[in-house]
Amino acid sequence: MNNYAKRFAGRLLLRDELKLTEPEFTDLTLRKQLTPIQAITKHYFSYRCERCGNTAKDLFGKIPCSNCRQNHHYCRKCIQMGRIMFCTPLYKWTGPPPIWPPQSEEPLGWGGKLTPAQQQASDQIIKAIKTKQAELLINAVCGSGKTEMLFEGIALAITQQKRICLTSPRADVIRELLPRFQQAFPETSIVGLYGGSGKNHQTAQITLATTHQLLRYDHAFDLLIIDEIDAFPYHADPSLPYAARRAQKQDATMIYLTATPRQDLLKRKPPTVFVPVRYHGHPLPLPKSKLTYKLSPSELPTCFWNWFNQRKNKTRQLLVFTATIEQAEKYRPSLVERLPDKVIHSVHAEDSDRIEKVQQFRKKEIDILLTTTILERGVTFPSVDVAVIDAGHQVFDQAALVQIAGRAGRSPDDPTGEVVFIHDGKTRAIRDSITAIRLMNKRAGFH
Amino acid sequence: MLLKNRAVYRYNDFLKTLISQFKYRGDYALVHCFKQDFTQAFKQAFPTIDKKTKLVPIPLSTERLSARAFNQAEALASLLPYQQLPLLKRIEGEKQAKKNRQARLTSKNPFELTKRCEPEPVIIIDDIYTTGATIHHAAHVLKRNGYQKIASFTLAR
Repeated sequence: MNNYAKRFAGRLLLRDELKLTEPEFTDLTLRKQLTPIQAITKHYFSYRCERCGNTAKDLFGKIPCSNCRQNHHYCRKCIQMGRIMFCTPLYKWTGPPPIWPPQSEEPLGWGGKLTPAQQQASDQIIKAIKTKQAELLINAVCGSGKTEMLFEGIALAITQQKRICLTSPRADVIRELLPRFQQAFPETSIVGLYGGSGKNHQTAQITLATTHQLLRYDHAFDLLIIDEIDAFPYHADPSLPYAARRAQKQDATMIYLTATPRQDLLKRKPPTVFVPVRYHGHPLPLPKSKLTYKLSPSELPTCFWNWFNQRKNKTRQLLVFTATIEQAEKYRPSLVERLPDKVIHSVHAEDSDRIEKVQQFRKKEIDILLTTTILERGVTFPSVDVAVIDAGHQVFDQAALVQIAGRAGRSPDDPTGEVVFIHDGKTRAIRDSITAIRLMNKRAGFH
Repeated sequence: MLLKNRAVYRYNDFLKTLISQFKYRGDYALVHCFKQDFTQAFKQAFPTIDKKTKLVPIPLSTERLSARAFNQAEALASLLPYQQLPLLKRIEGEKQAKKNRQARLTSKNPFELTKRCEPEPVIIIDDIYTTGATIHHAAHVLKRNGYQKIASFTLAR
């Protein structure tokens, strides 16, 4: 029974997502271990999808259901995760709670050492877990070593037989974290969930999942860590914060991790701990702002070339951020022409070779990479300078610019990197991002 | 044997994704996206059609119909202003989409007639025409039961 409890506790699943044989299913439902709930309910003058919380009338479709022989609604908002229909119930586990194995030994297998700043954050996390604090915001700069900060707190939660989830809006972050967590917690069950992982029916004590996967959970986790809470799509799609809130248990602890918290979070003034210094102890590179009178669609401006040729370390790789996919491709030919001995590529969200190109750049097989904001966060390149072309474009908001600047200087072997924002009119975002970085450096004791 | 087969769209990557969402994810509402093109292309393909023409949608197995909750061919057929006649049903559940070209062309006829009627001109409706094997089988069953004016119309080819 505990195996069923582990599989289904805290989950909200459709009949075929349960992956149970008919006899198993009948048995569990008859014994009230699994209870159906209506998947689409009436909500004022519209409806509500109980999985994703959607109440927008135009996001419900009508279907002439052959099973019911009548027209009824289905939810179009979360259809990618399996169709929720009026006639298909969602199942909740109403049996005994799962019991995670007791840990006789220290679950943390990571032997590294935390910097003082990381240690402070880690202590705050431990305190939050011990006192069942509802929320904690960890405002940690890019490159501060956010993952390692979490380890001690997670180890504590494991010994308390708690259920832990770390969620990130991006699948590649989950893919990257899985092996690191498996190494850090060798005796604990861990599962990594993201669209296409094929592991959606698996359950473990530590769940690493993309935010969309949280739609399948209900009062499941004692400790929920939300990474990059300010990133797309979490901040743009209301069903995701809805899912995160619902996925946590009654007295769970929620931890937010970000370098760039948005106003809506800051307004609520959650308990916060700052980690203003990077794990290698060097300050964040401060971006330079350069004005150009005209931004040509196919030629990079003169001030870019001046900056490029005046760089202190000319052998460093270069990341060039553009506002649109089109621009990323349009600037490439002029770069190739002027720098014939350099390997220059462009990458963007719709690029089928995206993952490969990022890998090549990481392995230093590409010298200059033109990219859109797709690489603004979550990626670590050992030694780069960064240029943003048309930094005044609306796609470069404060958070984006801070994150982009955070791509430089991440390695202890090359902790400085030059960052330039090239624009044809300084925006608030440009001004505020530079101020924010300067402030973080000040907090860290650099002046 | 077949009078003619006509399709509305070329089955490219974009259409593949769209039809996949419609059929496999079960997003019924997408059928309305096709209405204009489907009805217009139908008029162009069959300009002198007999008013008594009946539409015969390719049927799904009971299992698939239950899971999907609708028949995509029926959904498409209902976009047209002609009466539907469910003349065919499947004998066994053999998933056509999982067969390769060879297997499709040599497989047994999966259809049989549901009811005996006075033969009228018919147009078989389906979503995708790949090798034509499905439609060929369907037309064969109709033909040997007295139907002579048979054409087919699909969303994609």
